[in-house]
Amino acid sequence: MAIDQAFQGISSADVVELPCKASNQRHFVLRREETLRSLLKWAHEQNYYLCNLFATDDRLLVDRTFKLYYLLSSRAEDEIVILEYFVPDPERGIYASVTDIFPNAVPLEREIHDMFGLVAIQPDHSHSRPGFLLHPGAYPAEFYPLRRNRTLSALREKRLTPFSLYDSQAAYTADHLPDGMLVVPVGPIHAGIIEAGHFPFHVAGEVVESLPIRLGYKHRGVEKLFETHYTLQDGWKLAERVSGDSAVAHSVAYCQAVEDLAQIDIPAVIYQWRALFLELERLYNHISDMGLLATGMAYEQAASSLATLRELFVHFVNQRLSGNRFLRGLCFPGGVRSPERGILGELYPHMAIVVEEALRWGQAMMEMPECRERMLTTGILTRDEARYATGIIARASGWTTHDFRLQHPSPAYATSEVKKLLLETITQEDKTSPRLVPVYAHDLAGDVFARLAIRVAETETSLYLVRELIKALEDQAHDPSPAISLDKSLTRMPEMTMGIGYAEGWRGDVMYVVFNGPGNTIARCKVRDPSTFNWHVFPEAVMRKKADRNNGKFLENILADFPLINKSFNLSYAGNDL
Amino acid sequence: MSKKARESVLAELIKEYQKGQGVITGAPRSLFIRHLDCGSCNACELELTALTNPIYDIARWGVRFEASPRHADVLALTGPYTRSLDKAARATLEAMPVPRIVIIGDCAAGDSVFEEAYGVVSMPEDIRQAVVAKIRGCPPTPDEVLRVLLQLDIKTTTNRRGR
Repeated sequence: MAIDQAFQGISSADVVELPCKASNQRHFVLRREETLRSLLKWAHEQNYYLCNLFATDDRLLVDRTFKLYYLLSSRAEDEIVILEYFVPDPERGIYASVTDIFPNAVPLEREIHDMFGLVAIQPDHSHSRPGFLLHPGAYPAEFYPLRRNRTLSALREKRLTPFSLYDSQAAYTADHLPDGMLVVPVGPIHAGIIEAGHFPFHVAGEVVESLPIRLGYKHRGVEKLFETHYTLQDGWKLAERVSGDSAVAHSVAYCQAVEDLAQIDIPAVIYQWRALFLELERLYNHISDMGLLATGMAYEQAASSLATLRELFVHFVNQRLSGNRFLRGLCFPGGVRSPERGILGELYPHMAIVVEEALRWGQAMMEMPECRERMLTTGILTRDEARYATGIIARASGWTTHDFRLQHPSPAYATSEVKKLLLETITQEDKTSPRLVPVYAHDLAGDVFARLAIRVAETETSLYLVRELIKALEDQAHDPSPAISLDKSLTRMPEMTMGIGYAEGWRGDVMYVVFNGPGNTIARCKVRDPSTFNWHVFPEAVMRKKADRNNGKFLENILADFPLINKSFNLSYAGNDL
Repeated sequence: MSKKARESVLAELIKEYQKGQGVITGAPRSLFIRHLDCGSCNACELELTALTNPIYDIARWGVRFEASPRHADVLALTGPYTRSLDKAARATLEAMPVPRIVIIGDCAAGDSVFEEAYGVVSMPEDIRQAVVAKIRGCPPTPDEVLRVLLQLDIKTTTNRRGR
């Protein structure tokens, strides 16, 4: 594998490789900071993607310190590299930051700061800032909930201290801003039916100059809850409630992590069912997002039609298939709860009509001059900025192959037909497209239009994928609810074994890392929603910036553009805040 | 498939949907709702949004979602009530002319997977006292929400300051 080249010139005494059951994983334990940094630099040059960074508290275990895990995903081949490093001095709790190499590590290092009290030191000796997960007004200092010595009862005992509703709101004063600039504070409670987050717009006139977003209002303490209240077998119930609209993506990632931990092989048919559920989730959410974008542009006819289509989809497909409008309760470690036989064949014709109609509305929005004018060049996230974004946001900015279905396909996505369908999503300029609604590479310029176009294109791909998957599932004679028991394999595993699971949800790649504790308990569960990375780049799309380094022109968005840009991203607050 | 054929199939589907829904009873009224998210997983939000689609069309009953708590008759509270949103939630309640809360979903009703999490606190007394209805479900379907909203009794005319 490619990673072997990186170890040229590195002393073998500095690196220990641990065995991995999964054929696409390599796990290295590093002893020196320089080794870690040189490997990460190499990985950055080779276009690897830092897909996860998290800490564990191993102070009571053999290593007697905090551990750090850097997970790298190769863009070129199916390879996930795990770099394990330790915090040299657990008393002081400082470690070297890697944000100068991978800027998308910023939100993750800040999360580690909040959860463990570990501070990342930059090369220029500046410290990482605390994150947003624990608000100073609501949580006491040095809360550090994920440290092992913090029991849940002790954490819950630290009750809220009553505070006045009318205390000074220093964050809103504009004293530190240049003359003529104002702060327009929006949220955390918003005017529509959306989630809670605080957006202090710094505006000069109408133009948004900067946007220091504050999230974390919805922090519930999900990762600690996994450790205290769930076993490996039933953690999926919590996983599918981390972010309600990505229930399938989260539960599939969780299930795969537990299966990876148990080191068992799962029959291909289970992967096919899961892929089908993932694609259905993608379809209903993309249709819903198209409708929201239409609302944002006041194109009411499309908005109403798409809202109706989404409702029909949720009712006639999700509800009939799973008994739940959000496809909950379908996946659990070791299997799926598959619907009765024959139902897929019945559902498909109606579903295809619903999706085709949605595609036509998407096309109407892409072609209508008024809509084009509203969307084109609004909220541009350039290709450079989107390099560390993920999912549809990265793809809308031109990184069309940044997709875990292509890089790390489960067996259901690994066939050549599926791969062909995925690659056909975007049509190259000079080719004629077989698609109902062709989307060309030049459409993907990172603006609101591109994010609509990518949704339309992926909706069509998902429809064809669902058709293929249904064909495969109907052909196979199988047990109505394929499942294998994990209990035996799980009890055999030594404590603190790591399991990695991931799924390309409709927003992007969801990743779970699970460690087992004594008796099938969960010792640590790291949840990483794609929104974590995308929230980090989101302000770039809104605020005023130079069009490119070489010319003096600026890209600007006014305050009224924000709702449309926000809808075009449609990130999860709950998945980010955990 | 032609546009016409597609539309006729979709019309049939909508008819089938509405037949399954049964008759929703309730007199048209004027009810303004303000949504208040207290840490939900966003499924409840999606179901509230679904109420405004043409199939449920909540506006035909005179019910609508309002942008400001100052104009709202009720707050639709979703989520298990996180610590960080406590202040904002109480400020929103304070801004209402008459404090009324409709609890949406199991989380807000105090019976959910998040209940034991450290980021979740029990609701303060003033929030609890303002609750006029609870709609259970994880999440409750738009149908259930609509039925409760139409039966809701909010005849009180005095505001919190007794005027």
